[in-house]
Amino acid sequence: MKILFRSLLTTALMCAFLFCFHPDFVQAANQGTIVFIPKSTSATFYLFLVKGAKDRAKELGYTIDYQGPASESEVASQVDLVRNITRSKPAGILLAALDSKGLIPPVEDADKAGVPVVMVDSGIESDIPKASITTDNYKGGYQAGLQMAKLLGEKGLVANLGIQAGSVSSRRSIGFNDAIAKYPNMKVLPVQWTNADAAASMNIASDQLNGNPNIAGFFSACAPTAVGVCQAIKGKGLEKKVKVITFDPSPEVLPLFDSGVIDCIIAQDPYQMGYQGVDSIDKARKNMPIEKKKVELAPVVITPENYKSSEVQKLLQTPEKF
Amino acid sequence: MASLLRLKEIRKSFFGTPALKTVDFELQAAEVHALLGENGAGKSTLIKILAGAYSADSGSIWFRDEIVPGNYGPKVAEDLGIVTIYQHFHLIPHFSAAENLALKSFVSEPGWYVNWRTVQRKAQEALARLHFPIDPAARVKDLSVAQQQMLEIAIALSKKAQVIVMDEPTAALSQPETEVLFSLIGQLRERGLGIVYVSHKLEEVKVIADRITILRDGRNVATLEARTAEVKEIIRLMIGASRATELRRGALPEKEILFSAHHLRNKHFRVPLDLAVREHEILCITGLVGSGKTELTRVIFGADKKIAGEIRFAGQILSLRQPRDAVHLGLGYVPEDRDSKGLCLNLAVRENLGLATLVKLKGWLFDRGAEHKLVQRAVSSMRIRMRGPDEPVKYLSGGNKQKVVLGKWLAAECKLLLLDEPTIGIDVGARQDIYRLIEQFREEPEHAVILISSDIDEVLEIADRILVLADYRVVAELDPAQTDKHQILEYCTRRAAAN
Amino acid sequence: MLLILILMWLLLSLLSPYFFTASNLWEITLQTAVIGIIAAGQTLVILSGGIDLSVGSVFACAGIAGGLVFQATGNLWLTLAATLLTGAALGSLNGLFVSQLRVPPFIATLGMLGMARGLALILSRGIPIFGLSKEYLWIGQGKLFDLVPIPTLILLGVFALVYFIARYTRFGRFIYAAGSNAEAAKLSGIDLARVLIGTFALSGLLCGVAAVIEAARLATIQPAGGNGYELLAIGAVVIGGTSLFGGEGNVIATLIGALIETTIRNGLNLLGVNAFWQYVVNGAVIIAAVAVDQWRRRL
Repeated sequence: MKILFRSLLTTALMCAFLFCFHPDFVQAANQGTIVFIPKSTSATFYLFLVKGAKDRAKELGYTIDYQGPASESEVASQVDLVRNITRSKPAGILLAALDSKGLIPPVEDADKAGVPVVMVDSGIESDIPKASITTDNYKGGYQAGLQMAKLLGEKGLVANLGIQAGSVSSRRSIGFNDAIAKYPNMKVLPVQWTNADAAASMNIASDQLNGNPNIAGFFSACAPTAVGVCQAIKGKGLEKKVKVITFDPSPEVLPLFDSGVIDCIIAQDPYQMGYQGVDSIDKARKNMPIEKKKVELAPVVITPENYKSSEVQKLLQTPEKF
Repeated sequence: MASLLRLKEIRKSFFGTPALKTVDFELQAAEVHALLGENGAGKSTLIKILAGAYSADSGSIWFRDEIVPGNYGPKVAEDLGIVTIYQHFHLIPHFSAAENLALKSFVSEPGWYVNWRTVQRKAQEALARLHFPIDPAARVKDLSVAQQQMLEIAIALSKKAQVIVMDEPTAALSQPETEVLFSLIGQLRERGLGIVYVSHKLEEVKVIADRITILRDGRNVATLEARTAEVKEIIRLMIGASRATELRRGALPEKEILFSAHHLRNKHFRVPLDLAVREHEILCITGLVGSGKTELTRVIFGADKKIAGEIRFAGQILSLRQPRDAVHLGLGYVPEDRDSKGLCLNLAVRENLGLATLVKLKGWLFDRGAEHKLVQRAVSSMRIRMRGPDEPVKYLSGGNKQKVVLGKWLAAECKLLLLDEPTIGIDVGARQDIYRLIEQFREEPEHAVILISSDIDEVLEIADRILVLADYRVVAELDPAQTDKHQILEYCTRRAAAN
Repeated sequence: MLLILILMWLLLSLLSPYFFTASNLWEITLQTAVIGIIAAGQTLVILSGGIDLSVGSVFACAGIAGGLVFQATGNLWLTLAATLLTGAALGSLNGLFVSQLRVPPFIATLGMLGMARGLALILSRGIPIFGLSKEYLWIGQGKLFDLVPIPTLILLGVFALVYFIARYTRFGRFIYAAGSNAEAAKLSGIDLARVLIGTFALSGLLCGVAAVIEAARLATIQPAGGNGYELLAIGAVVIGGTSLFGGEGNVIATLIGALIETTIRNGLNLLGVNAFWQYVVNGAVIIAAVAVDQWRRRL
């Protein structure tokens, strides 16, 4: 028994050693490596940002490295990560900030160390980054609220499932609430924070439907939350009755939209963020001027009506694109 | 002689069950007064009342012929100079000897900070008085049991004790260490202290005590002069019936060798060791603390690895790599420390008794009815006293716990029993029961017993053959009928000649 | 502890008209299924004196492994086998680390927590797997006699099995002995290595079962799923009254513990309590429940 185990262990260790030479594992630095630090490694959203970044990087001669915290609640971990990456002197850093204030110090230090930083997806309250290409999270949530009111004839009770309180993405949830507040015949239940966990979202949505049988609509701030909400609704056979609006046309969300469970998607353009982000870093390194330092990409409201249009199709995060 | 301490008509009950039913006890100055009795007779209740840990339901306590008024609590006892040294020491293992000494004075002395130099100096003085080498800076957990015992006495003395109560002080001491303790007790007696000496070792008690008080069933049944009292009489008073056994002796007819170890070597046994046991034989192995007795049983049982050597059992060569192999082949091991190595304390009596049997079975399930029968048989034949088979084993007294450990192996039908100090800290009644069980066991076909003991009287009483170990070597093989305590002790202390 | 659960249910019935409805009560058992099954395996590990911190990650990794097999073959049985086997294999690795390499269980499973999570992300490339077949989904969403959810049945079945193992098998007895006193167990002839590997492997296997149920309920397999499940599982075991030192406790109590955890969440959600207050109440209720139970034992 002991011999068997030891030989298995040796084989495993050898495999692990060889694996280190896998291209994914080791980045060969040529012109330089740009590191992209997302809010968490568990959202498909960022895979599309990376794709955009990689496409532009290939044109310009960079490689892209992808490292981030495991979940969106680990702000301190992201701060440490930025610091550590800075020390390895990459060509540049693309950062999606978990906290608009907390990430200011490490970004300032990176800048002082001569590493250009460009914010993507969610920015910080500072002018130090060379550029920032973000989504207007608040506007997206607000538009979702307006759309929900339209779908429900400006009356009814809705639920709001967010990601993480106090984070940049919580602006979506706040925007939604503000929009609903404009309608006197509409009410929104207190925001529930799901930490982008599908199972937790499903349980919360189920319980809310049990406790408030007249919920007419759900707003979900991200794709995993939408998956959970849809399962809860389907479990009670309410797909046709309850409206669902979510952020992010991710691969697992699209089939739910096709089948009508999800009525509307608020799409960001992560591909552009990645593409323009790398472009801005390149310009900063070459001391070329950057036309617009702060780009706020307006979210696009995707409905069954405009789904087929080419602009919308470009934004859909289908698996083949990746 | 002046009366130092007197307990009059003490009564104490716990939840309606009487533990002491009117006990009178008197301790004189410059006296060693032994307190004897079976487990449950009331000895520990009495000494706890003496220490102020329990309060008596009725009766009075007198110190130097003056009644002690009011609530007699631990502080009162300490102020009077009554110090108790328990069987399980109250030392802090990670602290040094000096720190433990100082701890008792810290609590009473005022002040914020610790003057370490004063602590060291006081410790040196206290330990020097003992004529026993203890490094004040040594951590208690690195000290030997004997040294810890001495440290407890030094602490007692530093508290200006007038009465010292000792509970089983020689339980873990070897013969020479016991002699040092006795000389120290003698010194204390010279100084006028009174010593209450609780022990199960009757031979010892006769040597050290001046008077003996025997408790039985919560009553003081006799107070005798130690020198003139006879062991048989003492046992009779303790147990209440003539259960005193005849000293069994007798050469057995030569039988086949059942078990042998040839050229055994491991990290402890550098010099190859040989050992053999015959069918029906009780082989006793004795020696001082540190002579290798426990290590020998462990390597035989497979609990320690052996580097070289051949072990044979019933003709077959065994390769024992873990205890599991030994158990399946019919060996059983009753370890020295039953609480930490022999029993799963929070499991029930039933579960402990059946454990080795379960190991030897095959398959997933087991027959609970059969287990129940096994437990009933064991409990009745071994006279295990407990509330019920589902009672967690930790609530049993020492003697009954040991019976459970032994019962586990008897139930599993083992053939060779290895017992390491099986009767330490066990009352006379249980001890006799265990001897009886061992005798019954070895009479079965293909059975034998290896028994480790540092109690030479016990060894002489039950062994068929004696091996003496010193320094991890066998230095003598003796016939109990043709040797005596002095000769055995001599072998124990012999150092093997340097090669 | 059962008493505490009943008291909670009574209280919540008074506070919310929706609590004591058939659909909500079934919902509670449904939501308990995943954590409860993981906690059942965890109970055996803790009883044997160990602990398994990797359950959340093993759960995710087993799910992903099964999902990949499904994408490749479309065969339900192969998928289920792959999920359970992956869980058991990862669990066995934990057992090997602890018994052969002598790494303490806390550390070994902490390492596995990272490795399994990483493996799940690598194998799935970070993308959730979806498109599971109807038969698969029935496991999570189907109902027997249109009433009893399948996951609830599986939950009860798992607990019955684990209870049986703990109480009526030799293996179960060895688990208790090893947890109570490993040295004494070893000296009584118990093969500790087998006990350790067995309990960890079983824990991993049950993580696989839980992963199947969660995938079937969510219709997707999330590589980031299972986050924090180890704390919920251990919480259920501890609330149920099993000692973290090993050797003491029982399996059914864990089921009660898991139900208590779910009831707290469900009740707070139904009552519409602010999410931030939920953290406070959750922690307070757990402390109160255990304190009351301790007090009751001393009576």
